[in-house]
Amino acid sequence: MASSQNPVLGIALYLDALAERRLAASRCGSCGQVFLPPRPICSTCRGRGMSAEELSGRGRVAAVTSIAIPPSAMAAKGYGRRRPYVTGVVTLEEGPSLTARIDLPEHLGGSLQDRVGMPVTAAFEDEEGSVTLIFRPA
Amino acid sequence: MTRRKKRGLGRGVAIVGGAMSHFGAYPDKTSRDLMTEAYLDALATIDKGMDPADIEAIYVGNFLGELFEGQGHLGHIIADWLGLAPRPATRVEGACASSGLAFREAVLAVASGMYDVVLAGGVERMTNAPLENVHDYLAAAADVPFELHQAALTFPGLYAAMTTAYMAEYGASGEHLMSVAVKNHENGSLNPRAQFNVSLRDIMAQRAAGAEKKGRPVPQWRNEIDFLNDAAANPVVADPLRLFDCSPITDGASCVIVAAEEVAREYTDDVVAVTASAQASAGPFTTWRDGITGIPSARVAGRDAYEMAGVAPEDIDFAEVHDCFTIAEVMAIEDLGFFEPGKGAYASAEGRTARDSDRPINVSGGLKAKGHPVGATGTAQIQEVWNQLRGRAGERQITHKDLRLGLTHNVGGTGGTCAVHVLERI
Ligand SMILES: [Zn+2]
Repeated sequence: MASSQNPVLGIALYLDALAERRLAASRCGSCGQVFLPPRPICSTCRGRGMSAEELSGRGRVAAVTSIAIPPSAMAAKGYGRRRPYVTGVVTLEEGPSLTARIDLPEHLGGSLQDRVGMPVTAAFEDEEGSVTLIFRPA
Repeated sequence: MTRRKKRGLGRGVAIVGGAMSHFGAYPDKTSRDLMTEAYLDALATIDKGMDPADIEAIYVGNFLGELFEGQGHLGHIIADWLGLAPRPATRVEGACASSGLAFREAVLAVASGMYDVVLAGGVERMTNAPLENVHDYLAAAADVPFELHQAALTFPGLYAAMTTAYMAEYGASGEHLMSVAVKNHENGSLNPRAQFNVSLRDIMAQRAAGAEKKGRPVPQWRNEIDFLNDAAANPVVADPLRLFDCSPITDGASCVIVAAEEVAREYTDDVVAVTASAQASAGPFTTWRDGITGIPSARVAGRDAYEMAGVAPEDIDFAEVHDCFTIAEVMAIEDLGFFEPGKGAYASAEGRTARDSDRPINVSGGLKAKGHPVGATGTAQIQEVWNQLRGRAGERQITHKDLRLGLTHNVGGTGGTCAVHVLERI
């Protein structure tokens, strides 16, 4: 049984934390590597001494795209060719990377790849009754 | 990890037959129909013929039969339809690498000594599904809670993200990538079974003729790159990737028959051996240690394949690589060691991967022009390399150099899975 002292390190822990506007991760007690989402087995040293940890949400854009042909869930929210949205990869200052939407102001101009390296910070938005993670320029 | 011994096949394995169905939009054809075409054509390629009863086991690559046609459990369906039941039939799933893995399972089954003759194939039926569902279905190959649900990334989106990381690192541009599409369409124009059996010049001419017929302004493009830069002709799918950076949605099947080298000459005197079969996996690209400007599973599988075959990248005469997107071909030729990291985009734009170059890449037209029926792509690559090595690739046959070693590179998802094979004419 999971308890608050010994949570099951996995996707559910991440999603529960997200609902409370926090970023849950885990740190390997053997090699120090930080993982998001939290996982039970270290993929660097195979150690199993993982403990839950909360991340700052500060990081940099590692990769970015603007989606014109969205998956159906986004199309249902009105996104599409006339209303593309930006998403990509953010590398957090504690080390791990994650895929998430990124809110880039349109006035920035230039090419998308020019945004690689841009400092961003996690914001938590209420979207249709659930919390959505979205990164904004720091 | 401690490697206990050098990896190798337990005994020699050869390819004695192979074919692909016509690739394209055939919404009324089921997986069985597509596979039957590939199978009968593959049997017909066996020089001395084969009694189908000789086939002892079947491996079928298929990604999403459950979603595309509501049919799971495809192994026994195909075995029965081809008249091969009760032979053991196994469906193999590794997203876009499904039949690369099916081929590998067939090779390992023969190498183990269990069977002498095994069929490996792949099939995907895709165009009958509503287009708006296809992106959702294909996203099943991603890390769903994060890449799809949290980030709302599609497959073009995932590769587009990799593209911006690559461009930011190496300074390559969208036009470098476009040169991959120009080349692969040129190659596809020589492949009668390709979905796009037309060059971009042909497509431009068709579009211009269509506009003229409808009394609309006739577009004037200076060349292929000008056409590809036209946002109306080549719209953005996931910036910076546009429509012509993406492989199409395709129905098709492919089939290869492998045999133990010791029995192969009962079927042909023109033997092509499998000299390396390698496979590697990786987590979602957020877990990759060296960034996302190349695919780590492809590097590992490539390195293992070269070691197993006892060759170096420069020994490979030509290759079929997994160009699901133009950027994917660029990364492939770097991951496989044909070009240094960051040089692949420039090499492509300089024509160093063209059909008449030192090391032609995707002479079949690749996934881009040949088409990409997900589960069928791996064995479609194998049969192309097999045909080229035997000098039987028709109009697109490589003739300016002798072919001895060919390589296939088949990627599942964004590189969660990669299979690399080296084939040698012996
Ligand atoms: Zn560790």
